[in-house]
Amino acid sequence: MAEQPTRRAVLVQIAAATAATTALSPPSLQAQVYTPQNLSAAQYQMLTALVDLIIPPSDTPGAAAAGADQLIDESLTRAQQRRTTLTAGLEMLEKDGFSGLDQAARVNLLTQYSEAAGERGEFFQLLKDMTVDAYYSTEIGLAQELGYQGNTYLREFPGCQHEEHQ
Amino acid sequence: MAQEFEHDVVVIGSGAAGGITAWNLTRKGVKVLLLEAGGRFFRGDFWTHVSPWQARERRSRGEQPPQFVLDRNDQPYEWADGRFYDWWRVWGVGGKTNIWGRVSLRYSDLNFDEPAKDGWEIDWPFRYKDIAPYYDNVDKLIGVCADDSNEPWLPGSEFHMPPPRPRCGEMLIRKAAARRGIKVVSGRRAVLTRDHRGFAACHYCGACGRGCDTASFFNSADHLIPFAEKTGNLKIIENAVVGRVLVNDEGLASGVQYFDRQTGAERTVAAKRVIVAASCLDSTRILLNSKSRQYPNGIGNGSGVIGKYLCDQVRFHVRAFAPELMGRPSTNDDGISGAHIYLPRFDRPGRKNDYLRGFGVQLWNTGCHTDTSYAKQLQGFGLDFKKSVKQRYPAMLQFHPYAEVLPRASNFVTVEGTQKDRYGLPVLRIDYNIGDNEHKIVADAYDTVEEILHEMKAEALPYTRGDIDFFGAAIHEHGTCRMGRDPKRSALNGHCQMHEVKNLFVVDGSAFPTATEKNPTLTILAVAWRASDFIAEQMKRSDV
Repeated sequence: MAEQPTRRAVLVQIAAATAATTALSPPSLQAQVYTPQNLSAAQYQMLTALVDLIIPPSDTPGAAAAGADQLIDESLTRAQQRRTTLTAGLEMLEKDGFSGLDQAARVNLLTQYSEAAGERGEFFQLLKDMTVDAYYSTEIGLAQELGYQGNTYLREFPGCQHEEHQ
Repeated sequence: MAQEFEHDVVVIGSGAAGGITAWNLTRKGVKVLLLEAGGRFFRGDFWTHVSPWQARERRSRGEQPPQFVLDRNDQPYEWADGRFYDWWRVWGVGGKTNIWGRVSLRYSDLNFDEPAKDGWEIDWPFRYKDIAPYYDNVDKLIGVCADDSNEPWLPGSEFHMPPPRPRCGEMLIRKAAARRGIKVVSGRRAVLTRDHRGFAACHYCGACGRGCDTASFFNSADHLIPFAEKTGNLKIIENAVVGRVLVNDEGLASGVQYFDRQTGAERTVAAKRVIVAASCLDSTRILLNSKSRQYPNGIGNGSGVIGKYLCDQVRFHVRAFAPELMGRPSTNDDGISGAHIYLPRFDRPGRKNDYLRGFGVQLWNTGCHTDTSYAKQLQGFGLDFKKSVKQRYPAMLQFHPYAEVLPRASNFVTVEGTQKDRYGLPVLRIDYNIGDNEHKIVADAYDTVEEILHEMKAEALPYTRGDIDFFGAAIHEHGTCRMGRDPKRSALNGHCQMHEVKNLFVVDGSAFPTATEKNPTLTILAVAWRASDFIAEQMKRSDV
């Protein structure tokens, strides 16, 4: 029989392997200017404003600072249907004067979209779905905003420790 | 000079069923040639400790994690009349145990007695007392963590490891159910909470679905196959896609035809005994494609039952939020990934159901996890929306009932008139539907979930009563090569031996005459272990 690794040795090994991987990884979502791959510059500018209307900055950064706009643009490469719906929606918004509006008026317009049936409503739901998927899968959205602290190494799992839940 | 490996037995497939068979036979000195349709998965390649954002970066660099699940385009199958059946297949050493849900429930005599009692289709050929010693063996070998509860529909075990403590939401579900007279027990999960057989205990990273980098949950590839290899009695041929079992003039299995998955080359191996364990529907496909003069409908299929009686479970999902947990600080709820509690099937006192069989409820993903899709179902946008998402994040409760689907001759698989795969083998077509009985169980399961939610004053996300997941999504297929006492109504005896072909055995889930409401892997391991004991015994007596 091969020598059995101790549990501690295994944990140290995998911890070291992960540390090495992390050190070699490029920094996530670099702060350089991003050139959109699937939207025009004007459309992308609208998208940046829109994701921040859906998930604005608070005591944590909002969707734009987390790079949700970039992630959405990138994801469109493999999603032709979504790209069509999204760009059509951006055009509708533009016809409704979105870019020229101040913040409060933009919120009003987007509220109308969110309550509308048909194309406008569908566009809003897609935009919201994509913003949610993008934002809450970033370190800012998941760890910083929601407080996710999983996928780590524990010797024992503590489970619920609250007296009132026992 | 290398010595020729002369095998006594050919085993097809290396998942739970094939793995335990090869492990048990090789330790008894039987020489096993194992044909596996895929290659090996390597633990070092798993994306276990990789965050969602790191995974995205890796993908953007063109990297990808091991592809466990077989691509439908690579290996197609068909379904009848637009009724999609979601067939999950893992070709590779260890099969689906590489990524399985690890739920390890014993069937009780209430399950084994049920078909004989309610008269729906055929009886099981054995009872709990016959299989109980094998359940004990399996628990000791693979390591199952659970409490010491012992319920009418869920037998306990003396050999459980300590279970992980429940998460907050699970504690609240358990308490609310208890107030309604419904017992919720610990999960029974094949995850090591203590070091075992040289494997380190779980480190609670919650990434089991991506494969375990420390092999801390039972999987055939790490926990069975290497031990079988150490005996010197196992030879594995990887990437061997089996086409047919071959037959001699006496009507016995004489060999196996397979195709090299990389080159497409056709090969055959001779066999004195063949044990089929390629998973329910792939095994059935092999048997149905094994046509000969003696067996025009597929080997061992004089009765015509092979391919019929496909049964499994339908499931649905309800998500809700516990008011007590809203707005609380987030916790690390990974644990052993999946539920730490289970709601076993139960009988309501004084009530007679208007359906046959029943359901059990799984409760995975309660608490804080990486899945935030619930946010899409919350109203509005802006700061209030962001707050509402955060408030509900630690409060997530999830209910996943599994309802038994009855075996019916009208639910069947066939290779007649289907397209051919890249090896020229007819693919499977799955003709499957559910009926009134299943809708009634599902309705009762919705009632039960709603009763608990109401008791908890929980806020449910919108759902439609009666909705179910895709057919096949439970990944618990059974019945298409069923065992039984009557050779006219079953293909196998209680030792998984074909009635018509004495040296051919089928030891996976296809052998089960009913699906029950439970996850089957523990029982597959026990039944295959028992069958392989029988085979080894018969070999000693030169009967097969």
